[in-house]
Amino acid sequence: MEVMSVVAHASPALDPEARRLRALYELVAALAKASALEEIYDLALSSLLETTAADRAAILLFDQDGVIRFKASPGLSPEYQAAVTGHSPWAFGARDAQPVIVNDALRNEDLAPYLDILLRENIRGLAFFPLISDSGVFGKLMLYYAEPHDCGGGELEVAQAIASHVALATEHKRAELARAHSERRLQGILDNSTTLIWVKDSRGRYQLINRRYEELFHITKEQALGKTDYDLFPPEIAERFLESDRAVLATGEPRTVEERVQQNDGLHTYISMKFPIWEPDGSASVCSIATDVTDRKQLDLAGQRLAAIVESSDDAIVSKDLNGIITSWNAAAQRIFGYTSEEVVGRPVSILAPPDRLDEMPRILSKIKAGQRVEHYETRRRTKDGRVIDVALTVSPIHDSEGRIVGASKIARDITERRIAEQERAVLLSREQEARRTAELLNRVGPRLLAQLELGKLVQEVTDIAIALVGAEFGAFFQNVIDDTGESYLVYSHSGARREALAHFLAPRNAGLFEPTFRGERVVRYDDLTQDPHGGQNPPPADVPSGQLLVRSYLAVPVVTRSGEVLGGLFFGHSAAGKFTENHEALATGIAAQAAIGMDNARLFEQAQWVQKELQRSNEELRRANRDLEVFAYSASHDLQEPLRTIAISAEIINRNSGRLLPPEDAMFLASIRTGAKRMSALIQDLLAYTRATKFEEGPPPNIDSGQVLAGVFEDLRAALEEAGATVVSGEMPAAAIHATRLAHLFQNLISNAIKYRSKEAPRVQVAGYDRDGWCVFSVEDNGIGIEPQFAEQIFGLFKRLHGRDEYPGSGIGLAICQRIVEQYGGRIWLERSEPGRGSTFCFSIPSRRR
Amino acid sequence: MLLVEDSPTDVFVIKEVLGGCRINFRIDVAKDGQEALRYLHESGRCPALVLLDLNIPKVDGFQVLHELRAGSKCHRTPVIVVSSSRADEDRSTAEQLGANAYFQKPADLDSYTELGQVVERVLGRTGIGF
Repeated sequence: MEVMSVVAHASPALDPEARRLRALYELVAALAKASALEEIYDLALSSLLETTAADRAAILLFDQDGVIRFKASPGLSPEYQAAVTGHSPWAFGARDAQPVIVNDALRNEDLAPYLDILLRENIRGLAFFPLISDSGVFGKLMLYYAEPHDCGGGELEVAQAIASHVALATEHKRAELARAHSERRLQGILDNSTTLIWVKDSRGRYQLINRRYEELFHITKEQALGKTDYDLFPPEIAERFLESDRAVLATGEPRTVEERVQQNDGLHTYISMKFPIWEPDGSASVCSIATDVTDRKQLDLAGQRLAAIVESSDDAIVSKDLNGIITSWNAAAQRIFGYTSEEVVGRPVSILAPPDRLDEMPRILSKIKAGQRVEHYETRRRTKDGRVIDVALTVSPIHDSEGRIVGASKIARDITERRIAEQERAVLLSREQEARRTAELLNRVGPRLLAQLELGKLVQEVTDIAIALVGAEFGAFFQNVIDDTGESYLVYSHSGARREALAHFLAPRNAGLFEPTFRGERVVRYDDLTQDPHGGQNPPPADVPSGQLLVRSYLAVPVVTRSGEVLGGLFFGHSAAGKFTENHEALATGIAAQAAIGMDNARLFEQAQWVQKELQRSNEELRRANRDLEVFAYSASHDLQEPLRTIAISAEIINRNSGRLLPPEDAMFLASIRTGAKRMSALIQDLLAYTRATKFEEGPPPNIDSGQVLAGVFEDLRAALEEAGATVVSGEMPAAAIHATRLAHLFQNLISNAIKYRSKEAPRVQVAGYDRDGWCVFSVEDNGIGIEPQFAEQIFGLFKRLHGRDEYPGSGIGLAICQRIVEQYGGRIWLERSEPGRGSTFCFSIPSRRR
Repeated sequence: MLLVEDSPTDVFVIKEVLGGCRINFRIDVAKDGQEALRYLHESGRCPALVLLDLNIPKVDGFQVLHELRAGSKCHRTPVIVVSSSRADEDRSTAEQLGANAYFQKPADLDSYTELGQVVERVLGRTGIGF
């Protein structure tokens, strides 16, 4: 209200003109000092009321919608204000606006619609003064008169003057306000922005930083303003910043640079948009708006990395939308499927599926839509050139930033090769397993077969095992036997079918089929005999007689010994076709080989057994014969001796009783009877001795010390030797393999002979023995009467004598016995040397000591 | 004394040999085993000695010996087996069957006289007084 008081002090004594001028000066002065728009309005209105005859005054301004509104309207009722708001003689921004004076509202047609409200407001006269700025009318100044009024005498001028001052002041004020508002708004934007914003002058001094800058670098506006980057950052960083600033200043062009700054939580990357600002004084400043793109950069990097991974992957990575349309296609996909990216993006993914897999894709998609993943699904796909490949798929849903599923990402790995390798390996493995099983079976079979030495059982076992291993329904081992009528094949052993049925199969009409087997030529295998013209078997008749074997699968292997002898053949059959494979051939051949060995062994064994039995039998017979002989010899000799004894005694009695009475001839005959009986008795004894000496000794001859035996013989002959005055000499004697009694007999006989057939000299006997080549050779040398060479052989004959009975006793059986003895041991006896009148040397050989 | 012998020559010789013994015997001769057994069975008194040949017809010497020893009559009568057999089994069988001595018949007269010594020895042992 100070303004009003200023105006109240105006002197009333001045004339109205002077008073008006005075009021104007005061108004201007006051306007200059006015701080608020309202103040301006109040000053203007009070000045108007003072300098004009108006009863009331008002100021209206256009708002931003173009509606003119009361800004100051003291004394006007709200109804009036509401009624006339918006009414203006001039449009907003009009130029050349002139004041409008209405002397009497009642008489003004333009105001007719407002008459009612004017009268109620007690207004008759109005004066409209435009408020004009550079942009034209922006408001109006109103004067209201209660009575019709003629604006005369300087009233108009002063009102206009006031109006223009008000306009000026208002405009000025409004501009000021707008600028302040604008500045505040700008500051608000700056401070609320998350971007870093600064302005530096041409010397690099900060003129402006926003709040984000403050926060990030922990520095206030006051601290920063006026400083350069060198004050705030390490030199090399500052230099980098300023480099781009200078570039902007130099070129006068905006540029975008990437800047990295170390912050609390690490290195951040900014995209800085730098541009020059021209100051009014012609200098330039640099403004920078920098956005933190660290995340985005990382995202970018991640994205790049991801893209690189996708591109360099060996697996096809394909993405599709929810309709199954391919949206992306990597290099591996091209390599695997053959399509380029252009050929395939935008097309449905079903082009990759072979016809039998088409239903897979909708199924996979529906899983994806449900948010599920499909992991390692093995299936097949088709390439551009029509090849079908094995793949392993992993499909996962693609989410957008809001988590909705918008598509699917499919990773496809070509596993064709792996599949093939796996299959090959599986085949190899199964083959290896089969081979190992076969070998195992054969290994187990072998010993069993070899252990079976009985031929019949062996062959049966072979057949049984073979049939089981080969998986045949029936089988047989046929032995190749040629009988008198020609060739016929004997069934040796069989399994799985009745003998008669098999025999039927072996009918001559099938001879051709079996020939290669019985010839030992090769393995024969047919998948279906009924189909093969070489099969030799007629196709089965419509009504197959019961019991007839139906053979379709056929396998036959010859059983051949190592020496090439064909023992027979193993035959296998099955009523189904194609049952025997190459593997079975190998198996059967293996078994046949084992069987051949086994059968060979069994045969050998059989032979050995037979030989042994024969040996035993002949041994038995020998023993029996020996026993019989002994018994016979004994009883014969005894029975023979008895009558001889009677003859001898009877003859002796006659001789005693009547001997002297007999004529000389009869006496001689009687003597002959006596000597004959004696001789016969001796003969019989010799025969007995002969049989005893040559009887079969049981058991192998023991190793004996021939020297010891010789010593024993010397002892036994001591009396005879003494009586004959004989000397005997012997040297080292070897060890021999002979029964001691036999050797004793030999020595005794030869030494006795040496003494018996002595010459006039005292008998001298030399016995020697040596070992040579597995034989002991003994010699008995004497100085007796000797033997003429032509009789050298004869002397070993049975009962052979070179001298009369009167000359030398003995029946001539001794050397015969010796010969029999040495021959029993495989040795020999002979007259080594003899000279009639000088002596003889007899030698004999017997086996030396067995090791 | 009973002499069981089928060979006349042997009978002659044995009688001659026994004749030379200090003991006087009446010698009864049985020419086969059957006769011998009948004689032993029927005789009122047992003989003082039996000379028994093994190789006799009908019932052989061992059987006679066995029956003699097993029977109730004359089972303690001394028996000398006189045989031409040289078999050891015959000798031991004779011993087992209870013969008191075994004399092997020789092929000459001189050796036959030893029989007398055997007889004397056996009879001496049995205590028939000489």
